[in-house]
Amino acid sequence: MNMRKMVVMSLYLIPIPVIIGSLFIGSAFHISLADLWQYYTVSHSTLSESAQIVLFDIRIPRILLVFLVGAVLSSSGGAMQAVFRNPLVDPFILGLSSGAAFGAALSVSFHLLPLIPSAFIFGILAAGTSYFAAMQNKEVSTVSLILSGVVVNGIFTALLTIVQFISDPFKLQSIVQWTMGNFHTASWEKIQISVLPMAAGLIVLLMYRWRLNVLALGDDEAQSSGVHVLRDKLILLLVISIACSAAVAVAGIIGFYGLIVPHIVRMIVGVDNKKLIPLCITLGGSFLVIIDDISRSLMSFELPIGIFTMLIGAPIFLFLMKKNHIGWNY
Amino acid sequence: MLHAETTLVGVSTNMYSSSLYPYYAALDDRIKNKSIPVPGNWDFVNLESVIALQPDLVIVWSSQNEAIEALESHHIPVYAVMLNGVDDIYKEITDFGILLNKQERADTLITFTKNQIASINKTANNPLSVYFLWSSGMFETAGLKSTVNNVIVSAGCINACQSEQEHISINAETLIKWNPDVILLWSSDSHDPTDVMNNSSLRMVKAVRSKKIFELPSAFDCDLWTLKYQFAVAFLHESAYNNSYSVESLRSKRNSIMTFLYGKPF
Amino acid sequence: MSAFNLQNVSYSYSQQKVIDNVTIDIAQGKFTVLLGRNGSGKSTLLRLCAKLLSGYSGSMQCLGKELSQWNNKEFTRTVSYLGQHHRPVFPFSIEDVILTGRAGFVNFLPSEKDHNAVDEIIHDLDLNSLRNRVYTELSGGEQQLILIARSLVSKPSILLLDEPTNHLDFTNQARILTLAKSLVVKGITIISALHDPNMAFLFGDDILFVHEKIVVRDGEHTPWESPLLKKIIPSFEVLSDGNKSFIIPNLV
Repeated sequence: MNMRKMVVMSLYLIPIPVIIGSLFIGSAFHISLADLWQYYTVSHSTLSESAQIVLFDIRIPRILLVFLVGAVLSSSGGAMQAVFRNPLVDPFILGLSSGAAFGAALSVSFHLLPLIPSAFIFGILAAGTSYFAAMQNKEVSTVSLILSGVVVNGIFTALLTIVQFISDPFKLQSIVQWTMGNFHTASWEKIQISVLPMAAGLIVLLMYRWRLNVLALGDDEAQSSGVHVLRDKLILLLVISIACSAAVAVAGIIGFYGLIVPHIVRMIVGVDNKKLIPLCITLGGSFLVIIDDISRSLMSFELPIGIFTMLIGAPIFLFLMKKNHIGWNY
Repeated sequence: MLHAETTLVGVSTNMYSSSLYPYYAALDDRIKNKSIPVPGNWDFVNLESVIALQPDLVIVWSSQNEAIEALESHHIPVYAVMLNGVDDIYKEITDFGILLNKQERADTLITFTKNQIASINKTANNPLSVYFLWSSGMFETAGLKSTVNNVIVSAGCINACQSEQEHISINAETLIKWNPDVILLWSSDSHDPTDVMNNSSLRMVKAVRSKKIFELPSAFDCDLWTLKYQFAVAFLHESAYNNSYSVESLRSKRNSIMTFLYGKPF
Repeated sequence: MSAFNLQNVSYSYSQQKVIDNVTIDIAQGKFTVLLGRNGSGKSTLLRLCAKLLSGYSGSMQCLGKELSQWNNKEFTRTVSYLGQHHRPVFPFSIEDVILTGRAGFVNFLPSEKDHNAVDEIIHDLDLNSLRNRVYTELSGGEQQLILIARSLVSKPSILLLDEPTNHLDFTNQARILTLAKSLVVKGITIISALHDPNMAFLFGDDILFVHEKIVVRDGEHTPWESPLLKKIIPSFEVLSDGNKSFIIPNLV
């Protein structure tokens, strides 16, 4: 096995040390690996009940939720870029995030529906509207899809602004915080509601990972080599929209993450989606967990994670871009 | 409160929100009939409407810089307010007294409030720690530079959150670490104490184990940005320290405060 | 049995008719050229044959079986289509590009057999020197070679080429068409749209003239003497050298 293969192999396994290491990071409680070891080998009483709650009811669900959301956003971003044959799109291109933000704001301000279902439904609604608005003669062209996505995005952003405008300042603060992404309310309950759509999305993306290569080559090329292009695209967009709406519903909007991570992964393993999608899952999940670790350990209070993904992710991305001269033709 | 309501020519749209409207309607028939102009809300001012009213004075949040500049350029006097604690409230009332020529009433209001606060028996040794919870979420609280902190301290307690910021987000782990004796919720229809009780990750927190979780009775009665904050202080003190406090006595306390401030208990 | 048999085929894009009542038979084992000017309907005809367009009227048979009767996967293993204007976006490796041609055999992930087919075609077309290059960095001619390899990796019996020499320099045009000709010798049926009459005459076994929505074969004349050619190219001179003839623009 050569050096490069070893590196790639270790990237597949990276979630294990990252997740385990993150268990011991936190601003308030200091729990060490030795403590946990004693808890399992000696006696459960070696950890105080509060420490047990912190570890099992707070840190573990948070880490798992962060990992899932990071994995979903990154792999969806990678898949969307292949489906649209455009390296500049991200999972939110169909207006899903602003739809979900509007749904969340509606819920915060008017309590019509609980927040998570409301964000989820409006996220799907926005993506669906973009898709059907772009459909002509049962065909959906990439350009019209991106265009209708931009328009739907605009509509929901305007609606969101209206809700923000008529909301009182207490509610406004939580809406604003939500639009930058946050994990400080992570819980087993949130995992319970969102794990099914997110895991299903990841499984379908993994199944379709090679098919993405075919789709990325062009519609005619894919169709003439035996891929049902319209059906495959619809399945992928549907699955991505459901998974990402679930992610946005529980975590808020973590902007640009789904755009940046696939590019970082491409710089490491190349553009083959067969390798890209699994690595987007393992690296995208782990990277977000690390970013969340930093935000958890740096301060005793919580800042929206979207701030950190931009401040930490963007410089890494720019550095790698400069170093790797990736061969984009456009 | 200052007996200057007849000088009002316009109010904020927030007056008409469902939780506040019944109270203000009871105070003023023009609000009850929705006949008084509403040229803006807390964050937005319709300049044209304000100018059309030809007011002698506009009172506005000091964060609305552009609106203030625009009004001043039309030679309309503006009084800009920012309330970061109770001292700001006293200053505001004193200033309004001067501006509206109601100085005597302003002094009376302030003295009454200060006496109310002073009358609260502070159990000096072992003050309870209080975690305050905004309606926007389980982990949204207020730090030292806030009216909330004034309320907590005036009630003889200490703020569990010793951070400087006015509004701050924390997480469950930090809350467990702080382990407050009391959890106080801002009045809201989107949450109530059972939400905190039912959150299993908070089950080891002292306030949860001793069931000392209270929600402020109403946003109007406890308005933290007015002299009514005194009722929030009284409520917190009674609920935190007096295990056998009666709803009746709190009710009569409230009524006496409201009657003094507004002339009626609603 | 003919490779394709079209009976009264018409096709419209929205309201615009682009193929009008075409009846033609295309034989197996030949290099058939569709010769016509840009916009004459050549591409549409090829796309119809490749089963990429639906909603035509008339009857279209491929190897004796109506197109609608063909199972999609089976069809893509039999007929390969290579369109024009392919704009690559992602810098895929050569092997990854060729491998996508096996999609008709693959459920979700390509197997050992598919990878072997790629190795085989790289060897057959002598593409080993390009093996470690990135597709987007290749020249136009090299990219076209890779795409032909991609079309052949599914081992089709019929290959449809839409202007395979477009945008290529002279040497590469000759290279691609020579390769196509050698494939015909190996028994593959090739149907290719071309707009250069000389290349068509040099390499084509059978010339079909495509002009204003119809497709016709001239069985009586050599192509350069055909009155149909005059419809496509109103003014030209014929130069003859032995048994080869060329046309050049009529210089006034």
